[in-house]
Amino acid sequence: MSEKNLVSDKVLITEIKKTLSKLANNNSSWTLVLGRETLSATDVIQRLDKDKHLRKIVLTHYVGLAVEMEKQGREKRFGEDNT
Amino acid sequence: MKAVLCRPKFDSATKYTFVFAAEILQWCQQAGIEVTELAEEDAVRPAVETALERINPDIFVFYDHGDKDALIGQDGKAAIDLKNCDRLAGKEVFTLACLSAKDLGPEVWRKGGTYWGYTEVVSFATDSLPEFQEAFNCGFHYRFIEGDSRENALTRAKETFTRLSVELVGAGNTFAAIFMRENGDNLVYLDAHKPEEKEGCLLGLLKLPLKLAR
Repeated sequence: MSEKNLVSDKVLITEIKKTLSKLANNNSSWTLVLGRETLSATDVIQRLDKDKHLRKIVLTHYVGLAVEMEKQGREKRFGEDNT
Repeated sequence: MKAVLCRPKFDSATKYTFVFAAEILQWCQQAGIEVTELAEEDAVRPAVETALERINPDIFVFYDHGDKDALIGQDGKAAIDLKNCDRLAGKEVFTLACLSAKDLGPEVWRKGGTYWGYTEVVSFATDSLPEFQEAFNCGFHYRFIEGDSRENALTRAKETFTRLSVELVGAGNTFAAIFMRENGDNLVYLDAHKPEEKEGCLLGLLKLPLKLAR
């Protein structure tokens, strides 16, 4: 992975942590059930620093969702033939 | 058509998945599928083995914890694993269990059964439980209530995961959307497609250039 990618991953993780912090403040009962583990928003923030596998899952789908939404927006505006 | 539905409840995750499975139980009852429920204390290996032998169901539903090679019962021990999965030969297995489509699923498939399951850890967020329930259960509806083909049921379920993940972003539930998408990616239906070849297997060697294989 290039240095440029590493930097952008850090930026994305920072934004994702901001979302989680807001979740922790607004909805204290929010829980992520991860198999046999049950994590609070604060737990997830801490895990994102240590757990490479979790970080990879989160980043992959954060970017994937952005692409999916852009694709749907493009289809909505220009039609399916122009994708 | 006959079904056995097994649903332990012994921790915070199974507290939720026990409720998810109730919808499947209800659908079976409404659709005239003769369903036998093995809940909580009954969701253990001896009871599961007896039910499979006595009832000989067409469908076996299991919600929830799993491992690569097992479905975990109420007592924390394997209710189904590689040693007794021959009892699922020729049956349709539908499960939400983590990881079990890695080794157990292919073994059931090799014995002539089919396996709806997940190759990685299954996750969900408590701010979006109705959406996760819809995603986890929809495949059962497509295949066994509507009678759609295995291939179509899998395709439609994956489309449901994608649709719900985009809707969750729109609702501001970004984290739920992330794990909705992850679950959809890890869903497989063995028989709608074959298990992926494992690295290092003999078939893999055959693909190597002759020089490397020597």
